[in-house]
Amino acid sequence: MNNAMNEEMNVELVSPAKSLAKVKATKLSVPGRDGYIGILPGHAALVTELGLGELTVEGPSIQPTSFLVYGGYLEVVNDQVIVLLDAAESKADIDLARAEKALKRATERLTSKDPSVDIIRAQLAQARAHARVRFAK
Amino acid sequence: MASLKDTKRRIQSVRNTQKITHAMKLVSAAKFSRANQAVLAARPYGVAFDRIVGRMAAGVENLEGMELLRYTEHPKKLLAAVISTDRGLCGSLNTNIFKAAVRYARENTDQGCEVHFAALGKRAAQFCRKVGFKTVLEREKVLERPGYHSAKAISDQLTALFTSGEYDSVVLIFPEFKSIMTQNPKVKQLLPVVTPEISDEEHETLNFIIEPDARSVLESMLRKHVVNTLFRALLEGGASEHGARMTAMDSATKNAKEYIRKLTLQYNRARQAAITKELIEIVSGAEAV
Repeated sequence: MNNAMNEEMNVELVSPAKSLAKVKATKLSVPGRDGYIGILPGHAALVTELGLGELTVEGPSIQPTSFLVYGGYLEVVNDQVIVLLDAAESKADIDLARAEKALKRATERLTSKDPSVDIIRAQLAQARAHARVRFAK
Repeated sequence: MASLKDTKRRIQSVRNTQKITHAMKLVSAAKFSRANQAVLAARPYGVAFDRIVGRMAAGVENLEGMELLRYTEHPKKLLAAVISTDRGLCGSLNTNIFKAAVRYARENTDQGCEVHFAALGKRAAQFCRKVGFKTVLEREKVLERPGYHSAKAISDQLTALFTSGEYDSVVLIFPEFKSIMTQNPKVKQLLPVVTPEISDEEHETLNFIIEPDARSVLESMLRKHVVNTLFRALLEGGASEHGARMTAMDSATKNAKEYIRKLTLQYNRARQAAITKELIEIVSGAEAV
């Protein structure tokens, strides 16, 4: 059903706050909920949920661009790719010093053995901070 | 008749008011353009999201047991989330919303339902208190730069009230933004989720690979759909507020201008009358000599 001859696909990245990018790309890599997924032109129709991680889009006519994403959905139909992001940050958006501080705080909270700590929330915060630091570096 | 001094004082006071309304209009215009941009920026996401949810819902065979789709044929307990501004001076925006809320409440109470309210906005809370509507949730400042996170916090609470079975249906009553001049109150069902309709040709592209599985993806999508619906309502509410205030302040400024014109006319007449009177007095005084 797909036109495998196509060499490029249309990729649209949108978040509730704004439209992030609308480009022609040859390769897209997204963090699925259970691991990274690579999308190339001619991909079968797919809907998937995204997790936390780095999204990269590449193409001959564009600079390789990457965003840190915090979940969302991806839909591929006939080389039209729509990525619905809950939130996304580019490298320029991230304040590394602040992210490192947040990572330290989250780690401290997890190791503190304080019974009032919400473990799941702290773990999520740590994962987010960790991803942010790694992404920004 | 008011004395010359009084009239002069009134002209000055109207002029001061005019300055304020004019300034408010300019501020609202700036805020409006920002709010309007936010509405436009959220549109691509909303449109794409609606389409995907629609397709997914049409593609999943068994929708039974999804808690966000729990449909009650004869709902007994309803929750209406009313979105209003925090401050006044925005024309009939809030009044229209409250009228719609009262109508909704009356129609449903007539059919034996119990209607409770969630007041999103200071004015809505005040209104509910005044007319004696029961509120289960009150929030302020929802229209001040509405963010996705604050929308999520509110929608999580509303969703929890629905999934716990406390309410059979949740609706949103908010000003739908049409243009700067018109904002219509709109009643929109939030829960159970009304899945967007899709066209027939889209049915053909339903052979999706769905990761991890259709049901769980749809369930999380529906949850997000509720957040997104509320988020967009808040954005529209924000744009409506500033648009309405801009129009209201514009007509107030025009009104003040007209009023100043009338008062100035009155002032000049009174001044002329005083001069004439003085002249007559002088002339008749001279004649008497």
